[in-house]
Amino acid sequence: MAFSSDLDRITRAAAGDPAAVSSLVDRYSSGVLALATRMLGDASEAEDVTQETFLRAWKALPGWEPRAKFSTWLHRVALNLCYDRLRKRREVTMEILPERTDPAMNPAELLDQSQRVRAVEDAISHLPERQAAALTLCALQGHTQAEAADIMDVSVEALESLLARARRTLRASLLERAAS
Amino acid sequence: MSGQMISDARVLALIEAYGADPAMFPDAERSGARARMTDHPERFAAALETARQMDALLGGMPEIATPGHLRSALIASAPQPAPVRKFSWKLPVWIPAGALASLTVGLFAGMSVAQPATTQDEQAEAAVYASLGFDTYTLDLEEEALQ
Repeated sequence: MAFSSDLDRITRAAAGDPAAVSSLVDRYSSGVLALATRMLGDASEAEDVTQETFLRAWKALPGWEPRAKFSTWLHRVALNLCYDRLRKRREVTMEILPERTDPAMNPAELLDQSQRVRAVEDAISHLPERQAAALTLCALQGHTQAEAADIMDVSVEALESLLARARRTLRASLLERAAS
Repeated sequence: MSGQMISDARVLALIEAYGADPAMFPDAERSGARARMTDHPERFAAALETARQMDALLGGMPEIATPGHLRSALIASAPQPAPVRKFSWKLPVWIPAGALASLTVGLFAGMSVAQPATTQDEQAEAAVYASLGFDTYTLDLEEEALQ
């Protein structure tokens, strides 16, 4: 079934139209799951966050404000749920690694492919939470600066600063892992 | 923003935040930054190389797809269609039958005792009174005539 817009999907999903519900799930669940997976570094917790996010979405559908952007709202809910979970884990505090900016070292050359993916996933999930969110939304999920800033409820300038710090911290972390 | 209006420091800041590909830069600064990088490649070479390494790592990350069991759970948790209520008469059948019989008797009795109006004016007035629930106007006129 073709839908003219997200508002169309939302209106029909609120009335219980199964095709509209499936369409919303197919359109947005992977993005929410990916965001939660990168933020939390745990597939099972990420699925829980995705379910909770969609439960909140279903409850919000009947009173949906037509001007609101569903994608932004959904990612913001997911991100806040991730922040909540990360705060509960706070007893294991990740110290920000020293920034090692030796341009001669390339983390990609120091790790093989599978190690590299695991290391990057792990390193992202251990970034300070707002850096991880900025990097995931912009560099991994392709959101525009404006969308990512809106989801994170920060200015575009603040987002840019978070991105730069995220990339520096990630690089330092990967070099540290490769060296050890 | 033109190539002349963007500083080297700003281009380096963009590379550091968004990576080596100017397509990822903010729209308003993209062409200016690109021009600056083309005019003075030596100033940005080291930053671009570092950024490319990170871009390659991030670009190699696998896509995350929603597994089937999660998709099913999400769909199952969604609002269900309102059940279609099938009309069914639950009261005993003699109740509507009795109501219908009463209505028929009432209509018949009303039509039997109603008296016709005599003139057009009286008919109009009778209709007005009848619409208000009265049917005594013509009787009153007749009583006045007798007196």
